[in-house]
Amino acid sequence: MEVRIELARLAYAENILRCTNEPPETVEDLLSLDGELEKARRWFAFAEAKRRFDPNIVRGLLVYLFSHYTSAEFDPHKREQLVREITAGRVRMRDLTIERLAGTRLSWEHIFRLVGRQFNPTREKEKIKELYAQLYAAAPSHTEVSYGH
Amino acid sequence: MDTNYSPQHPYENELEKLTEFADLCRGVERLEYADHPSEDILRAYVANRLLDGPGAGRVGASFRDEQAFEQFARGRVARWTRPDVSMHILTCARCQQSVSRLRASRWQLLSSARHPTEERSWRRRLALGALASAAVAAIVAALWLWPPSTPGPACWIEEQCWQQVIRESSSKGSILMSYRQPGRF
Repeated sequence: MEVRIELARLAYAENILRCTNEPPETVEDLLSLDGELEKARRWFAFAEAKRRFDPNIVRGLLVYLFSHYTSAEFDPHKREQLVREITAGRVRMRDLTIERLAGTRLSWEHIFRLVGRQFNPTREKEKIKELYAQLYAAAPSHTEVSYGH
Repeated sequence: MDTNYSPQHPYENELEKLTEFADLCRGVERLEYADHPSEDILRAYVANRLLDGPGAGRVGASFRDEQAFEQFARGRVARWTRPDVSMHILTCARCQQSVSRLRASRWQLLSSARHPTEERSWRRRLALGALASAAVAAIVAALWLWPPSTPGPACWIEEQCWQQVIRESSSKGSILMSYRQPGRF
């Protein structure tokens, strides 16, 4: 069951990427059924960041995350296909799924192309971490936040 | 929100790996499923025609209510949505192979559909170019080879075009004046 809830959190993250996500408060209980409330909330920080900041930049960060960390194996053929489509402008962020991105290891240049503009990934990442701290620092959770602030 | 991009060397961007969030994506492993999406559903997924849920895909269906979520969590999906299929493929070796095959054939199909068009348009452009060049060459040749018209006689304006003929009229004591065209105008 734990694995399935882990998968459900990923499915929720995919919904954030495509802007089809439910508000965090309506799914918090479901996505923490395995006791991993902190993990669920970290995804919720992305959902909230998308609402407060530039949504496309937040989505761009998610694309990078999914392409690098959802699969341990690098798939050069899959990457080549996706990069060609991105370069030709034939794919948009709302077309992407975690499965499509897994193992593709996109570079930031590809992400910028998808987002339609350049941005500073480190600065944007820090903003999400700060938002998480604002939202949930005082809220009780099963495990402590481990962002190392 | 300040989202202005301060110019950075591309290499500096590549140093940012978002490692603080990496653990959120890990933990995906192969699962055993009793149900699998059909070939048609996989085909629709690959062609990006699968919706996230009812209502034109605005909200993912998996989290709409507890029942839908329970079905998703048990891996028993009544109606496959895009995240359902995506998560299924991510964790199902059999469907990964199917999608890989479908993607390859779709890619091949799209590539072959694009190239002939390019070739056709290239050939068409070449033919039109050749035709235009031939037309220009023909016009130049015609102008070059056309026998220069004999310089018009300097008198062509003054040349008498009509001859005045005076004949006797049938009426007694009168003459008839008429004009006739000379042999050549």
